[in-house]
Amino acid sequence: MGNNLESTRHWIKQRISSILLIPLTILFIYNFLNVAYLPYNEVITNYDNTFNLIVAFLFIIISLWHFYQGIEVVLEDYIHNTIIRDLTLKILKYLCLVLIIVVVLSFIILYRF
Amino acid sequence: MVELRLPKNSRISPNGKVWDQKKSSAKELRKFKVYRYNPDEKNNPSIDTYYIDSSESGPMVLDALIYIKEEVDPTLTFRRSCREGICGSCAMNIDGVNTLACTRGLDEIRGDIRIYPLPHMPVIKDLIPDLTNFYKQHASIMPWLETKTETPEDEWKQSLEQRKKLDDLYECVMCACCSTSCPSYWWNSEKYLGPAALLHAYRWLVDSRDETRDERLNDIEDSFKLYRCHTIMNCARTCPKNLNPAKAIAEIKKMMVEKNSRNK
Repeated sequence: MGNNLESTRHWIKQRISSILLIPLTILFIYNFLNVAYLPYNEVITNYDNTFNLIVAFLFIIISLWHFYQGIEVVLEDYIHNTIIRDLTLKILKYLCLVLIIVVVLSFIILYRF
Repeated sequence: MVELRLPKNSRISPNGKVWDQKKSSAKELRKFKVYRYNPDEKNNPSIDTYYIDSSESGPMVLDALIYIKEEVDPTLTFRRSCREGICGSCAMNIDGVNTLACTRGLDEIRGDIRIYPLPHMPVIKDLIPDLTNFYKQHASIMPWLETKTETPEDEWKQSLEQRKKLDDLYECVMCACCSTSCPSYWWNSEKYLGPAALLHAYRWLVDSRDETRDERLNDIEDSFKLYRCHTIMNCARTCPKNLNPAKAIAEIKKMMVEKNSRNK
């Protein structure tokens, strides 16, 4: 996280992702509990509903975004060596990006087939 | 990396002295366990034990410490001045809470009375922490009125409503109880300004007479100086003057958003 304007932007973004996660978490858990004990085919059918699909998709993407913002602050708090901190942040950033790509591909496959 | 254990020479040794002066005539005998450290001796810190008759010493923790210094152990070192919660000198960790020894009654504490210096600060001697960095941070927020217009002939006027905004802010006595109770300040005390300095920063930001609000905000707009506050709220919980630095910091963050949207 940079200084000055960027620090305030980071703070605002973290608040935005937190607020978005409140309804998304409730809806995602509600949907998840509805299908948790159903067989695989019925779970897939449930996600034929575009609304359920969008909720699940946004929940996972915004959770990852919020996770990265939070972990960035935690690492800044505890790791004082800037080289190790920046390296850890970069690894986490790429890990999150890979996860986002996996999620996007999974949802495309789920939606198309 | 963050240090979870104290450095070797800061760990408390078990060789504390017991000043056994129990009197059979004592009416209200209290046991005090006090942190001792003398930089002139090359020993680790220790905990000394004192038995004091609180009916003789006075009702407050500071009264008991003064009694110990005068009657039992003149080497015990601590700061004190006003004796009524105004100067902030006698801030220390009493019974696990940062507070002022002069306003904490002995009857508020059950069992042994454990007294330590303010946590996570370098100790100069016994109960005296080194507050150099703390005062430097306070000076950095420019704790004075900054104006650009010409000084009026009579005075800088303020309405009653404008003055009211300073209530619950100006009362801060800079005792450092809040900053030294904040885990964020423990880990990053060199960079994070801490609750006390930020409460003072807000006190000048809301002062209607000050004309440098944007400059003040620009100075503290930093991921470490301001945004290390994670609303842990230890500051508000421990403040011996019942102030709320966490709320002041939240207000500064709101001001930051307003400033940035105004200057877009």
